[in-house]
Amino acid sequence: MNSQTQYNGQQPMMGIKNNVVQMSYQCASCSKANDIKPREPIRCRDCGHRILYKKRTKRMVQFEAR
Amino acid sequence: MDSSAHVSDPTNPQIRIRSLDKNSIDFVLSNTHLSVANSLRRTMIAEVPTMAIDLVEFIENTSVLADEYIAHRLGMIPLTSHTVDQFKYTRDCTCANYCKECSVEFSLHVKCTEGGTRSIYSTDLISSNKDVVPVVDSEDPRGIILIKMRKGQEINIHCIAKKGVAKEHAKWSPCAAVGFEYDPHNNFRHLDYWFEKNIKDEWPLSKNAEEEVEVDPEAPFDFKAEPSIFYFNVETVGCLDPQAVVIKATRVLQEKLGGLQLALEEDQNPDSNANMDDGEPWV
Repeated sequence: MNSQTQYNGQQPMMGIKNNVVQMSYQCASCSKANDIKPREPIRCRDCGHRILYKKRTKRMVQFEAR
Repeated sequence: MDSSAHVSDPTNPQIRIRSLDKNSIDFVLSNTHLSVANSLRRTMIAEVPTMAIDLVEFIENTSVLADEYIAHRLGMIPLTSHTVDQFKYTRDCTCANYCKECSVEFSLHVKCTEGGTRSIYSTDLISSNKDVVPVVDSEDPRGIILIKMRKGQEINIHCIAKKGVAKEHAKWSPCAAVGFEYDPHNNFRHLDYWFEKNIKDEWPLSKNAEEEVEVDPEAPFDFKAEPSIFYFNVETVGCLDPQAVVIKATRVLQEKLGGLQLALEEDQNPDSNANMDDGEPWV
């Protein structure tokens, strides 16, 4: 829950400080975790691969069994 | 009632059970109208309430299967529903979401730590109610395989089973298949069989044909004849006993007809029922 620690109470948006969002993505090639800010190039810092995966939410997700 | 050759007394329906085992019943319904027999068939398929998983909450799922796919699989698991009458429909219950009066909860938390494939079976679901558990009806006492996992994969889910009927979703149907036949010799000519050379060779008779006689094909066609003998073969999925399915279906039919009768009486003489009405605003 590092997103909650960044929250300063000024912006009513989730996990944001001074409009800087940091999200952790996983490289599709080397599976290293990459923290990327908005408008940063989508590129793995480690191997340069250009495909990154978003991580699954830590929240519970509910489905109808139909 | 005048008992001419083909008209039987529709006020005295009869059932003759030909065979009954763990999950199927074979019976002959006679002395009734085709519409009654068909409504019994439809009620058994679609309106006998059972329990089935309806909501699935995923806390963790790192298996190869998508959440929606697993949720759908879980919904299809037949659950023992002998105590279904003790439950309310969630929509009729006073609780906000669900409670133990209208639902049963299941939990499943498995992490594969050893090498090789770890299979998760329907019996791995932990029920909050000992009377509502996944049906085990195969050689394998562990039940149905739900998910297969490899080392490092984990699944942690919480399921809510609710009472429902199959006209909402087929997962609530207590029946796997309902065989229904009448007039095995096609005396009434309700069917027009296609054939190449010989109709008798190409359309073999069912075993029900032994119970009836074929009318002389040369005799003039009796266009007033109506079927009165119906052959049923009800196969269940294991959530209810086959005889329970038939009995509960007749009860559902009876209740619906009772409701209809009341409504009709009220419609025909509204004054006599005005004082009986408790002032329900929606009536």
